[in-house]
Amino acid sequence: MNIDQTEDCSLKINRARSESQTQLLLLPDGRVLAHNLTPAMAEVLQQLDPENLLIQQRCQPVSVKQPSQSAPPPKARRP
Amino acid sequence: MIVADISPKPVLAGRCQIAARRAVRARDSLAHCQLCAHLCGANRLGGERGPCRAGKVARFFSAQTEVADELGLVPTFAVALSGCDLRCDFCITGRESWNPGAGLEFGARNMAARALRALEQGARTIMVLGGEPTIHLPDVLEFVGALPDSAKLVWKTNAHGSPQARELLDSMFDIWVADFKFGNDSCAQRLAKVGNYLEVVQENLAWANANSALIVRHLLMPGHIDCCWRPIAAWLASRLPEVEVSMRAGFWPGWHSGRHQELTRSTTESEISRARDIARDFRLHLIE
Repeated sequence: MNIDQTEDCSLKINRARSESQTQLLLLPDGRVLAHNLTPAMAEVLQQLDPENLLIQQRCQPVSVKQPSQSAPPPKARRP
Repeated sequence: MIVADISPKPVLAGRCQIAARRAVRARDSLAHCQLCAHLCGANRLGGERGPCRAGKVARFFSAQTEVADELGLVPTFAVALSGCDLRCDFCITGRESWNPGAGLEFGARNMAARALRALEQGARTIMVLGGEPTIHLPDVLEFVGALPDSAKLVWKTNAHGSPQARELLDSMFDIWVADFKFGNDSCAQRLAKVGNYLEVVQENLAWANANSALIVRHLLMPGHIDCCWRPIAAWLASRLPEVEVSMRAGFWPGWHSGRHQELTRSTTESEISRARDIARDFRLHLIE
């Protein structure tokens, strides 16, 4: 099998994300890509772009409490 | 597009006990590992490493409630295990997915407790992903064994598992979310360094469709609409015409994408539009 192992770090990295995290990528054309989107960050994105249906859909079902979330501060959530 | 309305097929009664028994079998099998389609036979219990580089204990790099997956699944408590049997240059979690030593030791019982708390707090499902979770089936089955049968479990996979993995996974998860990344073996070899991709993935998708609720996920890659998405759409229309298809448009040019000129950007609106036209032409059952 031809598999590239030169980039395959075998060192143990003894850390995992201790707090919830979302990564955002802002594209030059104005699109925003989100990875590991948490409920709290979905709410933030909805406030930035209230007409965005994709984000709306991901905010509506959420009633999850995430006490470990560092930012943004807790807000009222839709049921 | 429509919102996913997933109807999970019933899992086995007494799933947790069965999973616990299978976990023992899966752990023993690491002496001659054949969990993924590489069938490398590495003795992971004895310290050997196969292409995935994984040892005998799983580690995880993320465990949190998320809402970016298909609407029928979210909010989901997503547990991402380190390490993978593929080497996709565009992997959005390449640092952890290419390194099974990344993150922290998994600990099935502790993670199950966290997952149950997430369910109590509003998560609808529990998703196991990677990297690629297939290479960590012993720990995954211990995790399933520590969860109640009523928990809705989602198996997120690259669909590059072996027949042995399928046997161990049978009826353990309510829903499979399986990637169909490449529409031909040449792109698979060039971008993920994997051979015989189509045959393996198509076999796994057909099996998953017959044995579980299935969502087939495809990440549109820039410059790969005609060589990858079109043949995938054609195959799905022909072989799995009823399956729910999640076409993801948010290609993120990270990790080693820069090794490939066409992957140094995201997909354009024009490409996304053309991909939707292809899906419509093949009458695919697209979900969001």
